[in-house]
Amino acid sequence: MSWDYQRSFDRIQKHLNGMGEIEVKKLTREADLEQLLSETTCRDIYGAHVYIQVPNFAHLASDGLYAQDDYKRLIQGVHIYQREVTRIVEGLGGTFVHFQGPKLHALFYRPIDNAKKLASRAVLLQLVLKDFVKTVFNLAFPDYDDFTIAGGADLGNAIGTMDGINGDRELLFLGAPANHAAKIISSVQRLRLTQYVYDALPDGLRALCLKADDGPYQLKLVTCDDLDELLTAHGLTWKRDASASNVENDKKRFLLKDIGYSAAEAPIDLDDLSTSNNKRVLGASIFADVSGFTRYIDEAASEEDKRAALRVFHAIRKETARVITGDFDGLRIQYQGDRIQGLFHLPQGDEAAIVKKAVEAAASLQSSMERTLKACLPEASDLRLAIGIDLGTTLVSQLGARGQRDRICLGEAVECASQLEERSEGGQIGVSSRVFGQLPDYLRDLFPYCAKVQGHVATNLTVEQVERVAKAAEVYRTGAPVFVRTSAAGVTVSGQESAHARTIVPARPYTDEA
Amino acid sequence: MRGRLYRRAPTQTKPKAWYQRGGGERLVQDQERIAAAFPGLSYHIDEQAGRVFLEGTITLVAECGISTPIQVRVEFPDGYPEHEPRVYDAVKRFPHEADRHFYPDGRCCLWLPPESRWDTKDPDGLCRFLEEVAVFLDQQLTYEAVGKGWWPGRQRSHGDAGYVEFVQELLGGNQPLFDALAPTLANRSGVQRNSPCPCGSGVKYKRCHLRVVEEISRRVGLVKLYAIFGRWCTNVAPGTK
Repeated sequence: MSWDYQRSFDRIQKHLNGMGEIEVKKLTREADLEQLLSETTCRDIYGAHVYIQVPNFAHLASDGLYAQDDYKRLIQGVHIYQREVTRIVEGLGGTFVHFQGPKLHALFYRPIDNAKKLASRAVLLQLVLKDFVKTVFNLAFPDYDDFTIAGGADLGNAIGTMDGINGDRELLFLGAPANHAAKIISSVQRLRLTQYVYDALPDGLRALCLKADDGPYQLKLVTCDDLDELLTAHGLTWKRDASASNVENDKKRFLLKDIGYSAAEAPIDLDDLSTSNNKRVLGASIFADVSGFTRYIDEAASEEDKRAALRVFHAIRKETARVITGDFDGLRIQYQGDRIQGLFHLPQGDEAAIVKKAVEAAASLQSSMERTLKACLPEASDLRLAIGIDLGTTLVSQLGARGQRDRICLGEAVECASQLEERSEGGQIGVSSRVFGQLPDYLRDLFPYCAKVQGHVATNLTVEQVERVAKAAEVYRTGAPVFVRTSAAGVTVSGQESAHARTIVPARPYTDEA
Repeated sequence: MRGRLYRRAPTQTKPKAWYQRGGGERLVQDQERIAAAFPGLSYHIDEQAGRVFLEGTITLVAECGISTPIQVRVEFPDGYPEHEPRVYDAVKRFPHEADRHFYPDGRCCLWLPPESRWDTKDPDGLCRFLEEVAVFLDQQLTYEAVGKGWWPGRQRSHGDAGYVEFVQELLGGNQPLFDALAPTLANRSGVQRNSPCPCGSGVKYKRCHLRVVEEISRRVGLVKLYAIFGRWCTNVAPGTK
């Protein structure tokens, strides 16, 4: 497992050469986005993006549960929650994008360019889901503390595209509204919206909004009756009874006895996951986000600029996935806008080895970004990667409605890794204390504690630097020999023996002047 | 008259530079080997000054494939190949300071002279030498990567202390023995071959530590040895004559 400059460079070039011409057009009429969009067929879509988060799931998936049935009930609950939420989104005229773990991403773009209706539906979705969790879901799963939700919504233009490898494709949105809607979710269980959403709302819904101190608006709670009235007034329908019935039917359909989970002795086959085959592993979650990309794509004014930006985006996405899966045998869980989520879980139970792999993968991601991607795409010179890593018990599964199942990772380590990434700057790798504690001594010196990130942070760490500090600790400081090989490309000085290499015990340099 | 003596006037011919001796065989030999092993380096000959330089880049390739070219200049002294070449950091890629093992003029301080790995008889000697330079440069890059301000590996202390360490190691780290022999190394003890050995064994010097002292003298050089241990005896052991 390792990163190699030439291999990285060649695969980026190969991808770019085979990418084809990218088309970016404004979406002017309703269409099935799953059918329409591809890597090269992209649409500039005006819409309202909504994110809904259920914080309890992550905690429960980590260490809160020990009895087998309790864990199965959690898996059942998450699965049924995702299925019903997807139905609700579609019932209100929205498009289900995906679940990022427990966090829903939905889009309202129909009717086309109708800001008032799009903003209204985004708000109503948040209110409906709040009601659903409180009046339906919590009652159906009484064994846990009440679940609550937090939400965020934004309105504007974002570019829709598809990305993925070898037929494993995902719908993605790039641009400020897709980004900001997730960013404004607060840690306290509130439903929030940006100024853009507020400005587009009719008076009746504006009356439900309170301006928060930190900028976004916050929705007031409404009673069930008020919610029903609002839905009717906007020509939408959601029936609590129907949702409750769906949930009960799903509970009968996905019985606890049919839900299974196990540890993973071998690399997890993500396509093999289902409600009956879930994995509960000790895993290092990694999130890598292209820092500055939202601004980069929003500033692309002309169609040509947008095409260039998308070309950069697809190259970065594909290369980061290849580093995680190809160079380090990790799992690519999901793309989330311009962010990638990965997981390392082998060798099972060996915390130090898992952490070493994750951190080396992170350094390799930085090397790909700084050395090979920028060599192939000079226009990406201002972009950088911000990375977060944490280690902990993680549920890995593929849950949700048929045809719309998402790979999910649930666990506090997943949430923490995500937050570390969000707090890190471009060029940084933020790791938790648990990860830091497992690092070899020679790497710890490169990860000083950073109060802003609330973790240990390495800046501008590359594969070459990791190699060198390891060589310093394991070869030079121990007085071990090195192996020197000359070639047309240059001289390699390695701690590993190899063919045609001369063994040299490093001399002790000396200077005459004291 | 037979046996007339003719005195020939002293020749005015300039002695040949090293690269001209023997038909330039050594230079040609070196050039062929360097072209194969270090293609980034090329020879330049200053006929007027009678000097040869080797200039260009030594490219260090990390195991991940990242290449770091470092520009160097290699100067060949008049006594080459009996005397080793000198290597310089040509463009001040690294700070030219003692703790980084550079002289102020950028010359690389590869080793204590008695520990030189230069082999005058090895036809591949120049390539071997440049491989040692590559290791030195690799350690420089490693120094930067570690970022803690310490040399990544073993090193000799600066100045006289480095020689003192060297001699202590040759004496097996035996400090009492070192202290006993230091005045001899400074040429201050006046010990003779048949005198009792300064180590206090009671055995004659010629049968005890004479050979060791001769080896040290050969490797360090008498002038240098006397100067260093003269200072040592004065500063560290002022009671020593």
